[in-house]
Amino acid sequence: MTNLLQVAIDALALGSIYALTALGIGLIFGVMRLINFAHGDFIMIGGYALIVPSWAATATLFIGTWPAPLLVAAVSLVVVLLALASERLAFRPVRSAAPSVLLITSFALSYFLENAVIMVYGGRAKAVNLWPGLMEPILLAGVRIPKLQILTIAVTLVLLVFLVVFLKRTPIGVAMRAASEDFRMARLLGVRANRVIAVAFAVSGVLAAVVSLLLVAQTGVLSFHMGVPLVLFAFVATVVGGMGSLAGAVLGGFAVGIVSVIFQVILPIDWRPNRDVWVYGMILLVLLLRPTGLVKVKSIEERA
Amino acid sequence: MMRKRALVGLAAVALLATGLSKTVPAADDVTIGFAIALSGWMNAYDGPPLNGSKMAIDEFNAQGGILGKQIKAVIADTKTDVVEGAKAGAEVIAKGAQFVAVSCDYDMGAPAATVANDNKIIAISYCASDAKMGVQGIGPYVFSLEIFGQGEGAVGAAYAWKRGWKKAYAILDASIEYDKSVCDGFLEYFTKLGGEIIGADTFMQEDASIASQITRYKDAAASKGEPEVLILCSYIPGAASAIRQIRAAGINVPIIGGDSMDGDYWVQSVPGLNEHYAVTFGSKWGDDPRTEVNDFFKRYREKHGEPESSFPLNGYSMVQAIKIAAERAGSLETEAVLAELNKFTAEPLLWGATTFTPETHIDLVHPMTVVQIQNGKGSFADQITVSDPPNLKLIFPEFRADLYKK
Repeated sequence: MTNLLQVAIDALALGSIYALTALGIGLIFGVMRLINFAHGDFIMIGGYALIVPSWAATATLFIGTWPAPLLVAAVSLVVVLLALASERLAFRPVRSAAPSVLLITSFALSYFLENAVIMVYGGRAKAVNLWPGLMEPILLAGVRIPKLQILTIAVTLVLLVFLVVFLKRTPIGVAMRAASEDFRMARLLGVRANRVIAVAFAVSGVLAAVVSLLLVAQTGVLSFHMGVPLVLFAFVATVVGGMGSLAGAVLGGFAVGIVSVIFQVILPIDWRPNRDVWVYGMILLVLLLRPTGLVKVKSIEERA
Repeated sequence: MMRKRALVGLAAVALLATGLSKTVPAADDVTIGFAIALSGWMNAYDGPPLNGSKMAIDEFNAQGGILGKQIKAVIADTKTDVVEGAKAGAEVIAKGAQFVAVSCDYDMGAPAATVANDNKIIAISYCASDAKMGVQGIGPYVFSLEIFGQGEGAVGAAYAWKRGWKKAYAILDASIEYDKSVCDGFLEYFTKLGGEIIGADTFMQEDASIASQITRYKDAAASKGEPEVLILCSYIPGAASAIRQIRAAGINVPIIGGDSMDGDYWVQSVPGLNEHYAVTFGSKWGDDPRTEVNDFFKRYREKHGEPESSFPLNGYSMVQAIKIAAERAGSLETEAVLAELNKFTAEPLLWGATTFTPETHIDLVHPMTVVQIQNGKGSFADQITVSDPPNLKLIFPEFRADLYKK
C-alpha cells in the first residue's frame, strides 16, 4: 500500500513536468499552429541562466545563489526575453508560411540555441547544486517523499489555476482563446495578432523557466541536450491530449508521465530498457481509438 | 566510452576510403594525425587526452623525437559526427599522417579508424572500450588504449569483494553499450567471487527522474536486506543526476562505476558526496602510487590547468606507444611498427602495463586504479589487476549471458 502511494507520487511528479512542458507547446500551437521544438531549448537556457558563462569544467553559480523569489524572477525574465526574441526574429517572418516551414524554423532555432550554448559553455555537462534542501524527504503516511516532488505537483496545480483564470478572465486571455479558435475571425473582430502571439510566447517562456528550475533541482546537471527528451515527450503528450486543446495538453502530459512510470514498475527487467517502446505503443493505441486525441478540438477538425 | 550506431558513418567511410590517394610522408619528420573532436559533446572526452598527446610530442621532441626525427601533429575536427569523423580521418592522412589518433569512443572513433585501417595506417583510439575497435571489428591496424568494458566492471567487483561487500544491487543506464559491458563484467565477476546480486534495475541516460528506480531499490532493501554496494553503470550527466537522487533518498551504500565516472568536475551535483568509487586509469590528485603519474599531472596542471579526469594519461600513452614500437622496429614503416605493437607484453606505458597480441588490440588484463570521492573530495583508493578477466564471449553482446535475471 505504501508502495502504491510512492508510485502514485512518482507518477504525478513526472506527469507534472511533462504537463507543464506540453502546456508551453500547446499554447503556441493554439495561436499560431506552430509546434515549437525549440521549447526544450528554452528550458535548457533557463538552466544555464543560473551559472556564470564559461568553458570551465566546474560551474560557478551566479543567479543560482540568489534568494528563491529573485532567482525565479530572473530566470523567468531570461527565458521570456528569449521566447519573445525568438518570436520576433525567427517565427514572425515566417508566420504566414506553411506549417512545415514553421516546424523547420523551430528545428533550426533549436540547433542554433544548442550550438550557441556549446560555444559559450562548452559541450561537457555541468554540475550545479540548486536548492539541495528540496531533495530532502518528508514522511507522509509512512512514505518518504522528496519535498521537490510535492513542490512540483503543487506548482503545476497553481500554474494551471492561474492559467485558467488568465485565459477566462483577462481581456488578453480571452483574445488568445478567440485566436486559437479562429485566428482570421479573431483578427477581423479587432484582436491584435502580434500582441496575442507575443503574450503566448511570454507565457510559454514562464512555463519553460519553471520547468527548468524544477528539473535542475531534481537532476543537478546542465547539458545542452537536456530539453530535447522532455520536448519529445511533451509533444507526444499534446498529440495524445488533442492538438490545440490546452486541457488536452495537460491531460496528455499527465497521461504520458503516469504511463511511463507504470511501465517502469511493471515491466520485467529484460524489457525495461525498452520501456519507451511500450509507452509509445500505448500512445499509438490511444491514437488508433481516438485519432483526434483525448480532447476533441472543433477548430482543428474543421480544418482537417 | 562507447556508443552504438555507426552504420551510416561506416557506409560514408567506405565511399571516402576508396577514393583516397596514398601520400608519401615527408622523410624528415614523423607525422601523427589527430582525427578527434575539437567541437561538439565528444570534445569533453577527447580534449583532455589530446592535451596529453601534445605534451608527449613536445617532451619527446625535446629529447630528439622518434628515431631522431621530430614529431609533427596534424589535427582535424570530427565535430562529434560520424560522417565528419571519416572526413577528418581522410584529411589527416592526406596531410601525411603516418599514425592516427581517434576519438575516445567506439562509434565516434570508428569512422576515422576505418579510413586509417583501409589505408593500412595504424590508428589508436584514446579509450574506446569496445573490442570492435581492433582486429575483430575494424581491422588489424586499429588499437585502443583501454581495458575492455567488461574488464572495468570486473575490477569494480574485485574491489567490492576486497572491501568485504558481498551483497550488491545493480542499476544500469541501458542507453549505451559501454554501460551494459561494465555492468555485465561486474555481475559476472562478482557472482564468480561468491557475491550475491539482490536486485537489478535499468534507467535511461536522459530520464528526467529515477524516482521509480529508487522506489524499487527500497522495496528490495526492505525484503532482502540493505545491499552493501551499488554498481551504477552510467555516464555524466545522467549518472550525476542519478547519484544526486539516490543520495537524497537516504541511500548511502558505496557506489561503484566505470571510468566514465572518473574525476570530480561533476560532484557539485551531489553535495557532500561520500563513498563513491570509479574504476579508471589513475588518480589525478597527486596521490597515485606511481610517481610518473603524479609528475605527469603536475606538468599537466602547469600547462593546461586542472585536469577533468585521468584521461590525459591515455593521450600521452598513445604517442609513447608509437615511439616505443617505432624505435624497436628501427623503422617508421607501418608493418614493422605494427609487428612491434603486437608484441607489447606488460609494456610500461604511462597509463599502465599494456599487452597487445596479433589477436587482441585492447587490453584484457590491465592494472586499473580505483579512485574515490569522500566528502566531495577525490583521492586514490586502490590499484587492482584482475588477472582472470570475465569470459571473453562477453566481449561481444550477442553472447551476453542472462546476468540480470535475478
